[in-house]
Amino acid sequence: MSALEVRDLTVEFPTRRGVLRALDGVSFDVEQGEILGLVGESGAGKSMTGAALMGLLEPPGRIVGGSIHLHGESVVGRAQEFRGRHFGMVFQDPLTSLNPLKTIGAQLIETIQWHFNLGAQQAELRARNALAEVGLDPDRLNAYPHEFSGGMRQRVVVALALSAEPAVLIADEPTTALDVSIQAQILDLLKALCRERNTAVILITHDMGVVAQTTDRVGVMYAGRLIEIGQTDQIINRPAHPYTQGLMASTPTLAGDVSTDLYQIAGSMPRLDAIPAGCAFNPRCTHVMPKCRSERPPMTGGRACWLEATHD
Amino acid sequence: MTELVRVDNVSKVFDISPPLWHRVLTRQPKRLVQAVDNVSMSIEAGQTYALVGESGSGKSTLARTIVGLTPPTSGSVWFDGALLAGATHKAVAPSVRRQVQMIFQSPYASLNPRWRVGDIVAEPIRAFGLSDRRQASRRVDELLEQVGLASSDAARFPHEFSGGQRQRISIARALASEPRFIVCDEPTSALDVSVQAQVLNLLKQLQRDLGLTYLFITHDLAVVRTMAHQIGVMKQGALVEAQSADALFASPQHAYTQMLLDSAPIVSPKASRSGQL
Repeated sequence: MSALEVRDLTVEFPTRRGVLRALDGVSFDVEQGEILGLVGESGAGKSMTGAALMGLLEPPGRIVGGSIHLHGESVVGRAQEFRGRHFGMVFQDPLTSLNPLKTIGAQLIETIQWHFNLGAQQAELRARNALAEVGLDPDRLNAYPHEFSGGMRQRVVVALALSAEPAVLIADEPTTALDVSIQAQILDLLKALCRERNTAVILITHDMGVVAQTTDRVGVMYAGRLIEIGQTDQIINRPAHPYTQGLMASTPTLAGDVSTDLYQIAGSMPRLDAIPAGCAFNPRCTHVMPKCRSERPPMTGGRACWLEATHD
Repeated sequence: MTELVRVDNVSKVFDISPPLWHRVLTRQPKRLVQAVDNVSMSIEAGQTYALVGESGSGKSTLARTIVGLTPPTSGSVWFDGALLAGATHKAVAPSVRRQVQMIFQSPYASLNPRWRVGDIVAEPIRAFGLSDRRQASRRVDELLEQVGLASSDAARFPHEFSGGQRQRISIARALASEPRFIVCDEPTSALDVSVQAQVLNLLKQLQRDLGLTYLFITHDLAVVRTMAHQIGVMKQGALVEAQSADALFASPQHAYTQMLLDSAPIVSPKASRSGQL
């Protein structure tokens, strides 16, 4: 059994102009110790998936269908029991996820004591260990967030998220606010810690480079739907969905050159109130067929597309 | 090759001292930050010069100094032989100013939300007195079409557009004064990959069609690879390496450049450094 099983997760936002479906039938599994990447462009639903798992959907958004199971136990509707303890979260901006008025030690100890029945001394010891594990000096327990650089702050946030030893860690764009050299350090750290502790990780990002560097498997999202999922190597080198193919081709690489233009997908992702019938990608797809405009393709063999598979 | 822009020993020092009385009472010295440290460079006409470096390396300050948004503490910038920015408060001729434009990082913050797109794009035309009202509106239509928008978009407001479309509006505005040199400060870092490709291709096409010269600021080396002919690498305010793009990617000379190249995420996992995916 997988650590985390998400089936047909559907999230809707009732608005005055009708119901917006922000997530539409999203299904995936994450194994213990595995890093699953969720990629997509803004508004594709990747952060929404993280928020739904954590029970952090902004009202009036709510889960209207599907299930989330952690080790076989249903999570939907019981998010408060699971949040923090079983589901840890790392957000994009380390400065806004830390309390500026409390030392990082106080924040770590508070979190540890919230989840475990420990005395002050034991909790402090644990907090020191947590800092050492993310590569920070344990003696900086008394420092405030502003005394740290962005990368060090993100290390503190990782220490906080892992301090309750969650089964699943959701990292939502954890390195987007950081420089590339720091980004590489934080990704390596996340990877090492999760391998060591056998934590399942969902890494949400828009950056294919981050995906390639860090994840075991990747799910590609588009307009609230998961349209392709598979091994990282396969998705990056042999993408099977026309959207993923376009996305990969339009990503600038170090192997490019000045004289050639980048590949370009025409148009832009539809708004949630104007998702086309059938396959959501059909108006921008170069392989579009009549069936694509009427029937939504089911997820088969790791991709949701009516096109005959050309390889594999 | 002809040189279009020349940066001569430009330095920019910011005074971040506490207020004078506080400083005198607590007997503290002045506190200065050297944001740009004696940078000289030369940008060829019709080419793209990319400035790369991490946050705080001074690349944006240098760009703002070059276009004249902040005067340099010392040194000067020359555009086609005419003064563009200098430490002395010599006025820059409007005929020179007109030929230099800037595109900013955030397409959300750089467009006035209360102005219609047509007015935003027409502002440089009006400011430089380039044409009368009727001609100006025809020119706006032309500019909007040139960047891939519709002339009917002139009547709409910025909030009605997506990030990529807004960046197209910024580009149309920059083109309005018929510049020869455009400074692009992280123009696509707020955009999604597929939209980034559209905007980068548009910039390349405009360069081919209009012979534009770009100073392109970014922290993304993959973007640099597809855009730049020349590359300058900045670290702590100083230009530590300047080379042609091909030479720099083939054999980076400075350790810092090597480090940047090494930590750039590699998209193909087959070529990944760690190899333990």
